[in-house]
Amino acid sequence: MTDTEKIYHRLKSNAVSLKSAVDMLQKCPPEKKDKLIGLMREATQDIMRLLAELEAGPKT
Amino acid sequence: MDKLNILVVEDNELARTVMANNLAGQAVDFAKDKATAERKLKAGRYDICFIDLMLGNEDDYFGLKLIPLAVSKGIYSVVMSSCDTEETIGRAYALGCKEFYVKGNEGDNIAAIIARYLQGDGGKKIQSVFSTGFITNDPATRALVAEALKYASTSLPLLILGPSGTGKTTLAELLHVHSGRKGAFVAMNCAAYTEELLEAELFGYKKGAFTGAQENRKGKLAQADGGTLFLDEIGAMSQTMQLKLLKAIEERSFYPMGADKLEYSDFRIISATLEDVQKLLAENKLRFDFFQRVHGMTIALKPLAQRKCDIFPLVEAFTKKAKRLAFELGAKDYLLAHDWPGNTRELKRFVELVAAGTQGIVMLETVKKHITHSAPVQTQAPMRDITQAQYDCALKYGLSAAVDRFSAGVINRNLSENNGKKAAALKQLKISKCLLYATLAKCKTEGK
Repeated sequence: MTDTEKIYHRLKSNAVSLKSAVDMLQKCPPEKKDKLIGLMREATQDIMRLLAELEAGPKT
Repeated sequence: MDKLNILVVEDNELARTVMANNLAGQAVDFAKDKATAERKLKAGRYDICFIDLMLGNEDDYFGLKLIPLAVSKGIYSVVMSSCDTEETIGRAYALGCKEFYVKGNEGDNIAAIIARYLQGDGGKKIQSVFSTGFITNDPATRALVAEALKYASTSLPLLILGPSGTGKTTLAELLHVHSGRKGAFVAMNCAAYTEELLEAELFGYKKGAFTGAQENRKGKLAQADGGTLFLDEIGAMSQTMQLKLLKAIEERSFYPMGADKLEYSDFRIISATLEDVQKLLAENKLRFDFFQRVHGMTIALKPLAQRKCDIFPLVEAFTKKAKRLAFELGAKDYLLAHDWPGNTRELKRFVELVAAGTQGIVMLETVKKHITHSAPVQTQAPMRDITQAQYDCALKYGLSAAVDRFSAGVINRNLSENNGKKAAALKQLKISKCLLYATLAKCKTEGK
């Protein structure tokens, strides 16, 4: 697997986890909400980082 | 049911949190890296293992290497990955994984995976359901319950039909136990309350909501939060109450009586009725929109008279932790010949009576003494043993036309079973050629 493929894989993985987490968030009890939002924020930052890597150019 | 032991191999913490949420109710363990996954799999005490293929940023499908290890330990291996190339899927299956899913729809997929696991584990778990949870040896009932269990872990509504005492509540509770829902199983019989009381019971009330409401009281909807609300005899509910409940089901929120603040409850609804649903709808006793919200999958339980192979397994189950019973041959025959109009409930009461008053083998006289006389034993099919559909047909078209339709149905079925051989039908059904040909001619005319 090339580095670019790995980036795409991680992007997809983070994106679907975020989508599922959003569904979960709506029913999440208040005491767990903050932790979940924190994890979602980390996933978002990971997505930002991966997108920046893609922008920086292909590593093949 | 015992919880399933499940291992989730996943490096992403958010994905692990999502899986933990979707596997609530099972015994779930996690491995976030390769070494932990290998160590835990080698311990081999899991029923199912969910494997993410890529563990860590620099990984090249290490998850694939875990599949043979899991399979060698007899663990049901499921790949859940974002990487779904044809080559990867092929490799995963070749290594022995049972199911391959693309991440992103875990809620529905996990429920389906668990249901398939329960069915395909050599039948062990499903067998235990039929020997402890819902006792039956009847193949059709087993198939029905097994089918219903596939939907247990979903949030879809279920409707259970069947005469009184056939085990509707038992089945509803079994489905709740298999649902993985952490909340309570809350059952209520709608026919047991007046409209006002039913509203108070379902929605709860605030202090002072009505005369006698001296304190706040949680209703059944709130009690079933995170669990299952089982509503028996839904046909007994008024149209107004159905409308109120419909809104609560739709929005998962409601106002308790006397409250000005909306309350929320994540309940799953299972309902039941012993009445003919189509008739209830036709007579406007059941609102169609309400029915649409509660019917989901429909499970029709047969009366005990149509699954007599269950009589002795049930007797054994009823006496499992108490005095065991042994019946003489004549007594056994009598039990099998009885119609059991009260179904399982009648059988249970009978067993309790016999166990309390008998020493040694149970004789025929004892059995006769305790079986309700309003249901006399008949060796031939009793005249009253007609289906509701047949009865409705007679009311609709007249008895003569209904008999003709019934005859045509029997003759056509028999011909179909005998590959159209009329001689076989004449012999098996003991009918005249005249009746056979007249019926066939009539069917042809009516285009049946």
